[in-house]
Amino acid sequence: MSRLVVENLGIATAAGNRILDDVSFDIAPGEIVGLVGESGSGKSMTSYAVMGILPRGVHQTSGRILVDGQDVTDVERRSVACHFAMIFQNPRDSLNPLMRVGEQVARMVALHQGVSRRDARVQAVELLEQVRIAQPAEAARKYPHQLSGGMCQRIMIAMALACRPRLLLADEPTTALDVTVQSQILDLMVELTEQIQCGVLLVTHDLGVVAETCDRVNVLNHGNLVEHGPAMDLLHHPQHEYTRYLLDSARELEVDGRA
Amino acid sequence: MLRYVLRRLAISVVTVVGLVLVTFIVVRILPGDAAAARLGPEASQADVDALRTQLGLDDSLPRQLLDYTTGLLKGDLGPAVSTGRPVSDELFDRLPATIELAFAGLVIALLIGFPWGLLAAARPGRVGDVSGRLFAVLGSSMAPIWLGLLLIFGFYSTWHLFPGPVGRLAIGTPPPPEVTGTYVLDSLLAGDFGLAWQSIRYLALPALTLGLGASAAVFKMVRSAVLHTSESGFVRTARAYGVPGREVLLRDQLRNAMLQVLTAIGLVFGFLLGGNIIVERLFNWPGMGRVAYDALGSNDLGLLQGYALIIGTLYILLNLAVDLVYGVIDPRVRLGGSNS
Repeated sequence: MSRLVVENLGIATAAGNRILDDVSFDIAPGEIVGLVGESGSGKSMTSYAVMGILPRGVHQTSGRILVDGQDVTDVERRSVACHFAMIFQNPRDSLNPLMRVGEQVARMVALHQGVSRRDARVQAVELLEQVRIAQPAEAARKYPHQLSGGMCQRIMIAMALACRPRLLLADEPTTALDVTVQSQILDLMVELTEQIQCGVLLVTHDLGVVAETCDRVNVLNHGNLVEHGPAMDLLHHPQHEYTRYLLDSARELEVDGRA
Repeated sequence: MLRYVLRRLAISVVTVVGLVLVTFIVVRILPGDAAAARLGPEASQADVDALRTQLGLDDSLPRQLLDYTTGLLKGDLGPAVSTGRPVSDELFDRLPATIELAFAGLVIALLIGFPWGLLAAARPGRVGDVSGRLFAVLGSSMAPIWLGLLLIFGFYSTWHLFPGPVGRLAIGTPPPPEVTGTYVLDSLLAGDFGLAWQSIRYLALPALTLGLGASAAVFKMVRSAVLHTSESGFVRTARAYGVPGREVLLRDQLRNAMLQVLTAIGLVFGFLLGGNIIVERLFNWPGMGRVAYDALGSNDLGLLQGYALIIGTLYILLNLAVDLVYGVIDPRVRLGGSNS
């Protein structure tokens, strides 16, 4: 499938405040790469930049984004052109509240595969089944407010699959979910992307999630990449001070949680 | 949905009852004697007292309220002391003219404000947005009476493009056979296109006076509601997945913004129905606002009470309609209950 390379990516606001400086990383087909850091470290902005949807007032100042060696930095609607897909932190907010969820998935099927509306609807139900939604035909007729957060995230994953993705950007995909649902969604994401050999950029502040799913990790601090390497090495033998600090605070939280 | 509809209906009924009470009490509290006003300054005290008794003004307040409400249920709003005709006749005869004018004003407000607001929200900070905001400031700060005079001066006196402010039709022109009471529609129903055109030309300037001011409000509301949705998650999703910009604007942003926009349109229409006393006066438009204006001059409180009651009821019906349309648009309202 395809390999994503991000080279020297820089992002700044219109007022000139730098958000990201000279960040480079790559993702091989089927690989899950973590991007960790505290809030404000620029990790979500990195994923928006890769997707080509930086919010108004924020722009890319430097760097290139390459898919299989081809520069796609200036390509608009990258999702359609390059088969990028993305899932977000708040699954219910990420769905249109006035549209049936089946319709929302079907819309992406039609857009990305150029099939008729009718075929898209049929495929949408199949996709819902693929993300393990029981009674998919019935679920397709529901509105987001009638579904739980975990169900909405499954809908989002179905929407991502509708793009036949070669790269999935997952921006804190489990942060807003219940702990029991978190691992189900992670497992589903890992399994499905492995099947289609789709690379994943997993943006998270949760090092537990990283340990569970990622092959490699990049650590971001104040817009700078401070450390990167295989997940297990990095979690067990952190080299950079900031990574150690992140790990320590995660452990403290864990201890507090048990106390 | 049925439960939602019934609940909204019940709320509306309660509001109408409240409206009846408030208008009744306010008119009784206000100074001024309807009997004395009707008979004029020359009348003897004995005549005034006799008329007070005849009109039931000497009865106790609860008694008067009971008489008034039983009358209301029969469609009787009491007599208009200044003209001697029933209040309901005075007002309902004029209602179609008011509705025709308010509706025309609303159409103009929507035709201008809606697309402009959408354009402004699609490209904030660009020409369409900046010019629209300038227009909105001008439109909402210009008093209708001033704007109306400007329009009369320009389009009638100077350029002779539209007829002068003499009412709904040229003086001496017989109106179309009455079906709805609105001249444009009735002329069309009668197949008289010449008369329909004339009605539209007479309607144009007063409607423009009302509509321009209201279009500023519509513009602001559409712009801010649509702009507000551009920061929401589902719009980000649609953009991320490469949904074309126009589709995002219409299918995601506008549809979600419609809830707020509808509320605004309801308010604007209500304002146009009740707030055009000055415009009706300026253009000699024989609507309910004119009746209220004259009633104020002749101290006819019963007529004013009827005016307030009818405008208030129209307003309540309008809000009910807006609420019901909500239910159609928004599944959260229709199906009730959120899972979060």
